[in-house]
Amino acid sequence: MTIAAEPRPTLPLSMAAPQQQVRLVEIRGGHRLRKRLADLGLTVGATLRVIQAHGHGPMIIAVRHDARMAVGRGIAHKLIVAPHDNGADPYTA
Amino acid sequence: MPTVRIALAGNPNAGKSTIFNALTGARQHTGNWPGKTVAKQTGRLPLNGYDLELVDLPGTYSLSAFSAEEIITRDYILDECPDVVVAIVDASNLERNLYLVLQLLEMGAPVILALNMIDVAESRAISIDADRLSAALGGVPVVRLIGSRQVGLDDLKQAIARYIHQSERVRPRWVLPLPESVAAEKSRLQSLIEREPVLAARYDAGWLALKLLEQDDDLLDRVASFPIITAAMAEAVERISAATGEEPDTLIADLRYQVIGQIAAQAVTRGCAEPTTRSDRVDSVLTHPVWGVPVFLFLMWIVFQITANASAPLVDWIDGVINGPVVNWTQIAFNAAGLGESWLASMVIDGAIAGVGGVLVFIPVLMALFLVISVLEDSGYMARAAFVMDRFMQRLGLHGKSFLPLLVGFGCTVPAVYATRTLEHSEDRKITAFLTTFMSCGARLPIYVLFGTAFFGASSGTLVFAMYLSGIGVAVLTSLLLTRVIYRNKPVPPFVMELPPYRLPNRHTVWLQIWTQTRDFLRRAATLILAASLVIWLLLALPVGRGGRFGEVPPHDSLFGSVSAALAPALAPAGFGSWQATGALITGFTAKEVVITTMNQLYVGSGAESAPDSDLGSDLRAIAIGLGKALVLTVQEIANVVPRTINLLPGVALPELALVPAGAADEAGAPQLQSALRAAFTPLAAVAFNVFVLLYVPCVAAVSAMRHEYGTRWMLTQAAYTLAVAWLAAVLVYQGGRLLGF
Repeated sequence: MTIAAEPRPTLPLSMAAPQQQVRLVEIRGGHRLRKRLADLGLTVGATLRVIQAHGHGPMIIAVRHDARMAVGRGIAHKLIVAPHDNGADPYTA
Repeated sequence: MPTVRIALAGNPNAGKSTIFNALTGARQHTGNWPGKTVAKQTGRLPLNGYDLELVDLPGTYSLSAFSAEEIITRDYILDECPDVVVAIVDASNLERNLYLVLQLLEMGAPVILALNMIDVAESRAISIDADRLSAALGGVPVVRLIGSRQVGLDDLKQAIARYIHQSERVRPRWVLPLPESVAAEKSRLQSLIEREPVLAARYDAGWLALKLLEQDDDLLDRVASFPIITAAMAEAVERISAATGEEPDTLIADLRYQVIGQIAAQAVTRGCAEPTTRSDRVDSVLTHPVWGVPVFLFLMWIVFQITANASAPLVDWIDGVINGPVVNWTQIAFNAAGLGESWLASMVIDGAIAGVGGVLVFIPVLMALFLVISVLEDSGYMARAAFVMDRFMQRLGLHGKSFLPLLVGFGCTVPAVYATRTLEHSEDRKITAFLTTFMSCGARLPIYVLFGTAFFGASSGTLVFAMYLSGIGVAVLTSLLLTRVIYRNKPVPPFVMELPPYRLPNRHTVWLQIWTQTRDFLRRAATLILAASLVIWLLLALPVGRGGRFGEVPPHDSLFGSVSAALAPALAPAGFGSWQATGALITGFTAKEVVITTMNQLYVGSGAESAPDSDLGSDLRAIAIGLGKALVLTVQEIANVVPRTINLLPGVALPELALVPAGAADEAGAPQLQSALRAAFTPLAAVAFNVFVLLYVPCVAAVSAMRHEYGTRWMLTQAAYTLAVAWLAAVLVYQGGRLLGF
C-alpha cells in the first residue's frame, strides 16, 4: 500500500494541536447544531486554525482566517477535521 | 417631508451601533420589539429633503430563525418592507459576515453594503476591491467606512440618497446559484407556492421555496396549514438527500460559503501578515485557564466598586437636595399660601416629591453602570468574561454572561436588570433578570445591620453574611427550577461564541449609550415609581374607623394601618404578624431602606419635625457646595479602587484617599429603635423577618425596570414568585427554628 493511496487521516478538532491548520470535513451533529455552526462560518470545507487549546476547557479557533471562535470541548469532539492541504501557510488557501 | 425607512442589519460586533449612533446622534428612541424582550432602537436623520427613519435591527449571524433576534430581523424585512437595508459588514472578517448579506439578498431586500472597519482590515493586509465586490453581488452598492472615526458616513448617506431616487427602477435581483438537483426541486416547490394566493401575496415564492428546503422551523410552522406544500417539501427534501447524500440545509449552507469563497477570491487580496493578531496575543493571557480567572475577578471587582461606590456620593447629594432644600422650600411656599398643614402640602411633599426623589437617585447609579457595561462591551472583553465564566455558570443552566448582571445586583437591582441586555438570547435575559432580585442589594444591608446589632450585638456580621449567602442559594435553586423545569425545552445553545477583536472603546458611543439608556429609564420607569409613592401616601392619609381628618391621622388609624393589620395574620406563622412589621414591609416596596424609616415611625414615633428655617441664598450655596463635594468624592471613590484592590492582599493596608471628611453615617438606627425591636421581635422572628426582607418583591424601581425590559407579565410572575418564596422561607426559618428549640 502506497502512502499516496491512503485516505487523509482525520481527527476530532479537540485533538488538534495549537497552531495546527485544519480543514473541517464532517460535523457529527443534528440539524440544529449544523445550522447554528453554519451561521458562525463552520461548514464542511472551512479552514480552521487552533489558536488556543488548554486541557479540557474550551478552545479558541480561527474560522475562515479572520473570525475567532470559542468552541466548547463537547462541540470540538463533534467537528472532524483533516490536516490542511497547505500545511503551515494559512493564506494560500 | 417624505419618510423613508432604513434598516441597519449586520453581525454582532460588526460596528452596527457605532454607525447607527453616528448617523442619528441623540435623535434616538429605545423600546422593545412588540411582544419580545429584544431592545428596539430607532432614530431619525434628515437627508436631502427626506426624513429618514432608521431602525437598528438586532445583531444576527444569519436569518435562519434560530433566536428571537433572527425572527425579528427577518419579519421586519418581510413585513415592514424597509426602503433600504444597510448591511453592515466587518471588512476584517468579510467571509463570515457575507453569509448574512447573501441571505438578505436572497430575500430580495434592498441592500446597500457598508464595509465597516476597513482600517482594521488594512492593518491586517487585507484589501477589498469595492467595485469587484459590488459586481460579484449583482450590482449592490458598496460603501467603505470607518464607523469609529466617522469616516465614510457621507458616502453612506449619498449612497442611501441615490438608492432612494432610483427606487422607481427595477433593481437587480441576486439569486443564489443552485446545483441542478436542488434548483429543480426549488422551482417545483416555487410553482406550488405561487398557486397559494395567501402565501404568494406575502412571500417571495422563490425565497420561501428555498427556505422550506432548508427546513426553516419558523416558516415550516407558517405553511403548516398548506398540506400540499408540506408534503411536496418533505418529498423534495428526501429526493435531494438521496441524490446527494446530504441534507439540503447543509448543502445550501455549504453552497453559500462556496459562493462567498469565489466572491472573496475575486474581490479580496491578502498580503503577508502575521497570522497571530494582537488580539490573539492578549487572549493568550485573558482567556488563559489559569490567568484568565484572576483577571476576570479583578475586573468584576472594579465593576462592582464603580457601580456601587463611585455613584454613592452623587446619590447622597441628590437625596440631600430633595429632602433638604426642596422639601423645605415647598413647605415654605405652602405655608405662605396658608396651606402649610393641608393635605395638599402633605401630598406634594410626602407623596410626589418623595416619589420624584426616588426616581432621581437612580440616575448616578445607572450612569455608572452603563459606563462600565459599554466600556466592557465595546472593548471586546465581555465575550471573554463569558468565556471564562461559562463552565461555572453552565452548571446553573445559565450563560457565562449572566455573571455580570448578577454581580451588579449586589449593588442595586435596577441596573442589574438593565445589565441583562448584554446577554444574547432572550430566554437567558429573562431568567437572569428574574434572579437579580435575590442578589441582596445595598439598600437591604442597613436592615440586616439594624437587626443584627439589636439582637446579636457583636456577631451581627454573621446575620449579614448569612443573608447574602441565603440570597445566592435561593438564586441557584430558582435558576435550576427555571432552566430545568420551566424552560426545559429551551434549546441549549451549543457553546460556540465569537470573540471579537479587542478595540479601544469609542468615547462618543460610550457617552451616547449612557445618555440614551439613562434617559430611557427616566421616561419609562418614572411613572410606576411615582404612582407607588402616591398610593402609599394616600393609604397613610386616609382615615378609617375612629375618624380623624384626611392627611392628619396617626398611622394606626389610617387605611394603611388597617391594611397592614388585615394582612398581618398572614405573616404570623413567620413570627412577625404585627401590623407594624407588615406596614414596614409594605412601605419597603417603595425602597427597601424605607423599612427602617417606617419602623422608626411606627415603633418609636416620628420626632418633632423641625420647622423649616432657611434662606434661599445659603440653601443654593449649600446645594452647589454639596455638588462640588459629591463630585470630589466620586473622583476619590474611583481613585480608592486602587488601594482597596491592593488591600485585598493579605497583610497589606494602604491608606485610602480622603479628600473630604466623610459624614457620620447613622444608618444602624437609634438605640431607641433597637430596644423597641427587641421588645417586638424574638431573635428567631427577627431572623425570619430579615429572610423575608431579603427575598420578597423587589422595590418599585426594580419592578419598573422589570416591566420596562420584560413586560408586565414577567414582572407580575416575579412579584408573585418572590412573595411566595419569601413567605415560605420565613415560615420555614421560624417554624423550623422553634422545632429546634431556638
